Amino acid sequence: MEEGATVVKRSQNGSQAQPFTCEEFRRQITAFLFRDLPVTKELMMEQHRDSCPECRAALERVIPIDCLHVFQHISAYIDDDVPVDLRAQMEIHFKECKHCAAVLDGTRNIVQLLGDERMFDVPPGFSKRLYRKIPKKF
Amino acid sequence: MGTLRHQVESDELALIRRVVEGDQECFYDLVRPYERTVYVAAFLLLHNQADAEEVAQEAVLKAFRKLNQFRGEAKFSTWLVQITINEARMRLRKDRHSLYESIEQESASDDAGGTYVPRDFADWREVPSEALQRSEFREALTRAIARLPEKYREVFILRDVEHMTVAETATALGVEQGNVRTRLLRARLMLRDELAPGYDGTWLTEGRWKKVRPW
Repeated sequence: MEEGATVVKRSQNGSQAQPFTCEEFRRQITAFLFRDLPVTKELMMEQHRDSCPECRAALERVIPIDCLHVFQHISAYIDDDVPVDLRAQMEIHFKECKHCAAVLDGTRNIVQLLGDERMFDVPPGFSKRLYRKIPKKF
Repeated sequence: MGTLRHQVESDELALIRRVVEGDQECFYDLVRPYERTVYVAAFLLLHNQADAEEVAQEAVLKAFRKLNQFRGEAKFSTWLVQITINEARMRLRKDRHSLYESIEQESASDDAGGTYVPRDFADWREVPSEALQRSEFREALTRAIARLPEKYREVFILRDVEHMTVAETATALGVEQGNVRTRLLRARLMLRDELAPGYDGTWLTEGRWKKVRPW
């Protein structure tokens, strides 16, 4: 939490850039906290943070979560089926915890490999044999 | 996209009507797009080609006989998969393996039970797509699915292999959507534990692969 708070308190530079919308801001929270954004975008984020109390509160809500919590939601995370605040918490966790990042990568690989159409073939002639129990009308 | 699905569903309803009215040929047109779905579901549940074909044939026969009872509450494909799963379950019960299966099922924790904690944290960043072409690799993945307890295996097959939605999977299996999500989580993490990093990088190279894990 403290580490996050120090990152948030970066000095504000004067900027001409247009501020982000709330939705854009929420989507970029993790990148902002980890200083992964280009300077212009970072300034836009800072402007938005300082002008929108709700988004500022959202930023401060991004508190660390533990590995057990992450495991519980890792499958929903892969399916993009987690609330936006939890998603941000998980993104932060994956950046800091190499174990959970490895579990995430591996689980994604499973989903990708086994969901690949080429993985399972239908045996030759299956289509013909499939209907052979159905009584023929003629 | 939504319109296309609508179109497919209304075309299917028209085909179903014609089959029920006696036009048997339409039944083949109705089932043809789902032949692979039926086979793959049966194969992954039974892990045996001959049994899978037998179950697929039974499922299609049952669908043909019961088609006049299809009410269109679910999609036709979901209904067909539901029949296939039921046939496969019956086959598994008859099979000697079901003895081991039931023990395994009982020892597995409940859906609502504690969090599943991965057994290790091996890194596995590469997806060996060339490996898909190799039969021994596919065999390893298929075996890993076969080792999952049945309730997790069913959900995994429908969601991640057949790409059915949570709602469709819940309908086909007769369980709540929450159960689908919990079982899928567990199935995915169990498979990752089983397979990552799998075979020590030899997926990408020629020659024999060896298992690096003690289990």
